[in-house]
Amino acid sequence: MTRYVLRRLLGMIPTLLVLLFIVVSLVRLLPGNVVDILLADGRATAETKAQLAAKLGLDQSLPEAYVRYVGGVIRGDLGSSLWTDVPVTHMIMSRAPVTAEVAGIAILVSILISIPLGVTSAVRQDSFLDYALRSGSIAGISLPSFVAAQAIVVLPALWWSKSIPFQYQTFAENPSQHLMIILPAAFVLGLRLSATIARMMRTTMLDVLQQDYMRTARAKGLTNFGIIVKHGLKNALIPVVTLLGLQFAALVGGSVITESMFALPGIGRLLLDAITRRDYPVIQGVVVSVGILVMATNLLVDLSYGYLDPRIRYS
Amino acid sequence: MAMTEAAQQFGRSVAPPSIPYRVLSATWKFLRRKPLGAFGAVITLLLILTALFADSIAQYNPLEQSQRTALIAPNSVYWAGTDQFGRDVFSRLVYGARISLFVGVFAVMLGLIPGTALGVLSAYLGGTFDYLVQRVVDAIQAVPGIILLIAIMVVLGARFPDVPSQVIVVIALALPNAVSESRVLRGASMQVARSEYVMAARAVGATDVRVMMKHVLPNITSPIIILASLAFGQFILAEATLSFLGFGIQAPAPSWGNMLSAEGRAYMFAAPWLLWGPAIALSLVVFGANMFGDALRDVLDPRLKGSR
Repeated sequence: MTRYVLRRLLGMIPTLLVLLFIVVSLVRLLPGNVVDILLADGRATAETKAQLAAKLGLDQSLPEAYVRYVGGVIRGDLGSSLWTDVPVTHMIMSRAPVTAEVAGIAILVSILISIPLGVTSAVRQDSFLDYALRSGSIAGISLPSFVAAQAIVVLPALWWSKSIPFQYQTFAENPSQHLMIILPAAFVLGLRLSATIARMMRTTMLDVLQQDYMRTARAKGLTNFGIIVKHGLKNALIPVVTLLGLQFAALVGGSVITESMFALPGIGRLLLDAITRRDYPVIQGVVVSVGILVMATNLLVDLSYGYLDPRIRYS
Repeated sequence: MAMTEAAQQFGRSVAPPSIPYRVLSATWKFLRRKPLGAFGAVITLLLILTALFADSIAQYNPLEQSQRTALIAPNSVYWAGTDQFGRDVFSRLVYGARISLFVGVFAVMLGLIPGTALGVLSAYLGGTFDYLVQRVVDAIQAVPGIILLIAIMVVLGARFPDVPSQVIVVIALALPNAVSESRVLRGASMQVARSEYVMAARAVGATDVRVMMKHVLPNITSPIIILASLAFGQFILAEATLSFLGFGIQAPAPSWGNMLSAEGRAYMFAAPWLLWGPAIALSLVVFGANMFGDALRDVLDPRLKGSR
């Protein structure tokens, strides 16, 4: 097991090196006079210009800049903001809790919605209820999340003259206002996830329901509910956990949209603000840290199989 | 007599059916087996027709502003109402279809060519080349699509300020997708490369290039078609999302994403038709393209299920 984890971690290194190369090269693709564009007021001294170029790594050749960036990442240093000099890692860490909270609630909401729906759909296969639930999930997948977000903001205002308070406050400052803005955002983020999981849950549950051990459990005289939950659900959940893990990247990507819609100070918002201010080190840092996070999640997903299914052993 | 019996056994006439007959019967089979996919195909076809004949369908100039016609609710003159600048929403929706189609079609084509080349080459060359390409795929797939897209848009937009935003969007969508597509096509090519007819071709002395062009490529057309049809819907959605966030097609072009963007929100409370039109158009087209792509995948190559 330890050897497997070690090997997987070592295997991640080349991928990470490639990702860092892409990120460092992206800045090189900027036009040659990028420093002049950034310091648009024209009063900048040659010294300021040189400093800015150094921060962007433009004073070095590509290999040099790459080696320096990789060295920084190893030390946990992603550079600092062009304008405020705040280290990028600090900026990301201070924004991460909001994104994590919304994503966490989104996952929770989508599990609570989708697993009962998916199981019901499978148990009542080909009934009217099944068709209704399946159509609903297809519609849920097709609805673009920013359209859903726009609707969830506009519709309550139209119908009940209620609108979401677009003033983020932490839970400690104002619990009700915090939730009033976090919950709709989490719902929008979790909507597509629920639809995806419900479809997957239905498929795997249908498969499990036909297994021999289900018939045995029934023959033993267990209650229908007990069979479905204890024997069925546990076995049907394995592919669903994989799916959930693989959707992690989509959740972080989706947070760019929800955080822009609901004015939430998370990582997505940080990226958008950095782009507006052309704060390239911050953009690089967000891309790199999200990439590392996604790779780590994928590894965790693979490791979780062993707990969920004792038949799987790592070598 | 023996011939007829054999033919009857297989339930077909001896003469091969004509091509129109085959196309028709395949279409009919698709319709019966995949009603949702057929519905998706109809929506996709409608999108294409709307985009091609936008000039005759739209009654107004989608960019023409007028204070006198601002924020009129849908009526018999302005079918989908007008926006805050007095532009006809219906005409903007119609021309928006043109933008969606342009982005969808060109990004699919631009992505598939390098994607296919990369996939076939990785499968065929193997070794270090394949290893490096696969790490690039891993790296690209580790970054959520929308974040990567925004980053590429920003850099390309700064590098090529004079290139129209539609072209930049096409490039930004196609490049990372080509890398992802190459992995699916690599898998498909590897399967073909192991087959006996490829071995036979090599045994009689066919060159690598000949094997790739004459044997591998024609045998991975199914996954190529499937990838193209699925990417089409994804690209339309991605363009709308980018434009919605303000990084895609530049205003005042009538992209559906632009029409839904945050600046219009203030007016949506008073004029909800600004939300309905683009929301319905976009959801329907994304739904249709996805259903069509899914059905095509099930029919052409069920093994690819879950590759997305």
